Amino acid sequence: MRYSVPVPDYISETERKWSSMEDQAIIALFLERSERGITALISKYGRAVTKIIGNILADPLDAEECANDTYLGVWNSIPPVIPKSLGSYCCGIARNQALSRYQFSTAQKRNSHFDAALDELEDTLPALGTVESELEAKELAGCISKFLEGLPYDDRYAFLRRYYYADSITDIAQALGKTPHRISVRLFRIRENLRKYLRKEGMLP
Amino acid sequence: MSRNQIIDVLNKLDPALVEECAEYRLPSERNGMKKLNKRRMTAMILAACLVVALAVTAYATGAIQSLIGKYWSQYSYTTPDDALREERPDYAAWLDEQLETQSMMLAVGEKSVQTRVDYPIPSLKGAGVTLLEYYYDGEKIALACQFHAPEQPVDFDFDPSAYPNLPFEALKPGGYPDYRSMVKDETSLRAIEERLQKQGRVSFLVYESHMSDGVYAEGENLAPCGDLDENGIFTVDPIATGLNGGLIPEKCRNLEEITVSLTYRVSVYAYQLEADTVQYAAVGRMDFPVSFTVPNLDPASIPAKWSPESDFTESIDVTQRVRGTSLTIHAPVPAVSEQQFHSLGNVTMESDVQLWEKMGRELLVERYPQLEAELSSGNTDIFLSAPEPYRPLLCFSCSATGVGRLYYDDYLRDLGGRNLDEAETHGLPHYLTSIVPDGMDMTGEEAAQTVAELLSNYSCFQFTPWNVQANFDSEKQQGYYYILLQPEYQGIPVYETIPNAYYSNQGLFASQGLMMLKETGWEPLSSSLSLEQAVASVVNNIPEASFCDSIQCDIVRLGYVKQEQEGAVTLTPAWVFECSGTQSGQEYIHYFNIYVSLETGKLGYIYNMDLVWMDPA
Repeated sequence: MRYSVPVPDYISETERKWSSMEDQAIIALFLERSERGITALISKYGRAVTKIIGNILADPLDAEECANDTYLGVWNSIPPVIPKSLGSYCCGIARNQALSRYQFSTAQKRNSHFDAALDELEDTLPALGTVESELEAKELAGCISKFLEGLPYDDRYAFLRRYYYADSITDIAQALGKTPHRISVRLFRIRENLRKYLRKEGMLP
Repeated sequence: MSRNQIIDVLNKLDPALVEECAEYRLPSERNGMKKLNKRRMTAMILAACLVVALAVTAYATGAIQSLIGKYWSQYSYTTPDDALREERPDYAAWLDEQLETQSMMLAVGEKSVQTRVDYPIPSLKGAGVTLLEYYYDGEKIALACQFHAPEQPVDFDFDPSAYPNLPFEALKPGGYPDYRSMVKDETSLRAIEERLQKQGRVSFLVYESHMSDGVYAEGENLAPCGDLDENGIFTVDPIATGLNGGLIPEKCRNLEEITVSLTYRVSVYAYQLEADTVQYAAVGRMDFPVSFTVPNLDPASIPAKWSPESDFTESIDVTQRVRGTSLTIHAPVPAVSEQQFHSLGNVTMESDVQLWEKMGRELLVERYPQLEAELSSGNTDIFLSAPEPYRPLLCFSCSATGVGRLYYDDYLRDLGGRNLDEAETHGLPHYLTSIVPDGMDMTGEEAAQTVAELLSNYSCFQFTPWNVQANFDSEKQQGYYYILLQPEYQGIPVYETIPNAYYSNQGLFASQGLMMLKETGWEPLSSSLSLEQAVASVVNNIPEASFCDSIQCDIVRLGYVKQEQEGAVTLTPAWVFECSGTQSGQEYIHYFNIYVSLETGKLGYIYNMDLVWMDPA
């Protein structure tokens, strides 16, 4: 059964309080199976969820359904899961939901920020070949994580926001206080360095 | 690697990293960065204001009217968002970066060249890319281009029945990819509506075009393509291409010209509209490579061609009037072997005490054995007097801590007197007297040759006559030659060090300026300027370097320019233009050399007795 979450047109005074509610308090509502937990979650993280989904899916109808699926996912998983950071847990579910939907899509066009981001990675890492097994994917991901750990925070932030959270270049630029063009150049340099790093680590021929 | 595989890998990234970037964290939240002190903040704000002022001035004077300069001027501290950053603890670091970047961009913007080169896309009317501006100096590249979408993005000639295998699928209302989001022109949209109304159904292709991300040169991925502005203008980014400490790929550096390739990408979609239903299918994607070749704006960065392969096969002939100065270069191409040319490097030297000792022993002790006791290792100056009548006998000075310059004078054999040659030959380059003064039994050329061989024994240089004049001491009724010598190091002439020698039938009796040096280091050149580049540089810069109305150059050589600094000598390889010039209102002729550094392309000349290097314009 699909749990449909009513998205409030306005935020009441109470909800405004919820939006500043501590994660632990929201999780407590989930643990009590109180539907107020959902409203509080949407008040606090609804915008972030909508954004990450919108980054990946261009179709607003798809995005809305996906947001509902995300809240349902959180509702169904807490308990037993008690996330350390509710925000990133919620965004993670939103991303996965959006990606599942994205992978069903047959459109081959650059239809979203995510497509554009993948285009960049495809253009930059064409020689990676195929990662057939789960293990290979894990090994490669581990290698990229190690590379990211070594980057300055702003570079790491830009990379992950672009390729994991599928943010637009403009959004990243705004967050980092730089021009969009500068960010696109920075990402280009990071991709080039990643390629060199992977080659050094034997992940690339 | 497929997209799904990329997504799969991204999903497996370290969750801690992902969580860390869920929201932007200020440096203070990350590592407890201290807040700026007030003085530092004030200094940074003042610096920011200065940059704004500089940028405004640069605009006012037209220095950054270029698209590249204009685009990058946004780095200046001007926007409200930037102002808000003052609140942030990382403001100083941020502003430092902005200042540095902006000054670099202003420099590029000033030097970029405006042009208009169209690259149309075949078969798509109106589609293409126009190169509007470029900058390439061998190490940095910047391009500003304009993207042109197809004039007719909708093609009604499409017949779906001819493509039975196209995977059409229904498009939900408002769903993606809606042709309305791709077809921007009203005429095409109206034509679709009209055909739909008239015929009840309509089929068409839509050409959606954009620039691909990658920009390539010499087979290397050079930089990303920038975003289009509202006029379709975009830049190939100079930050990725050489500025901010980055280097462009080695293959792209220091070329005479560089071909930069971009990709104009066209995705084709087929649509079928009938009543309220819309079906679409992705037909395919076409990539059109777009290439622009731009010249290197900094000739000095281009490695030299070997002269015999150059445009100047036998002689250099240039006659040009530049900003009021008339310049004529008419000179044979210098005869330098390919091996010599490629073995040139920057040579460092220091004084050689052993040469001084050798010279002291051979020129002094052998002639005056009683002076043996006065010569000892480590002495660098000797001033000897004969016992009777207490007048100076010899003066021999050579500083070991300096650059080892000789001052030798044997007073017992000293001669003085008048010069027998015409006054205008004094100091005239490459003058060889034809006069044999009384009391001499050899020609000036023979005397110069003898002296050159003699001094070569006490120097790491070899010598050739540079100016030889005949003299006569009327008191002693004895003729002699005054000889100026051009040193050579390993066959390459060395400039700005001309020792002299006085030679009579009794041999060498005085010499000044001989440098007693030994090589202590050699470094290869990072680049070598070709003869053509050097000539072009002189032509372009001579008004800056000269004080003459008319300049004549009839000798061009490849030489070393000697520079002294803090007790060390450096020999810098350079193209040497031996010039003479006249100035209106003055009767005499100036003789001077212009040096063009083989490595840096800088122009060198003597100003107030000092060698001065200047950057070419």
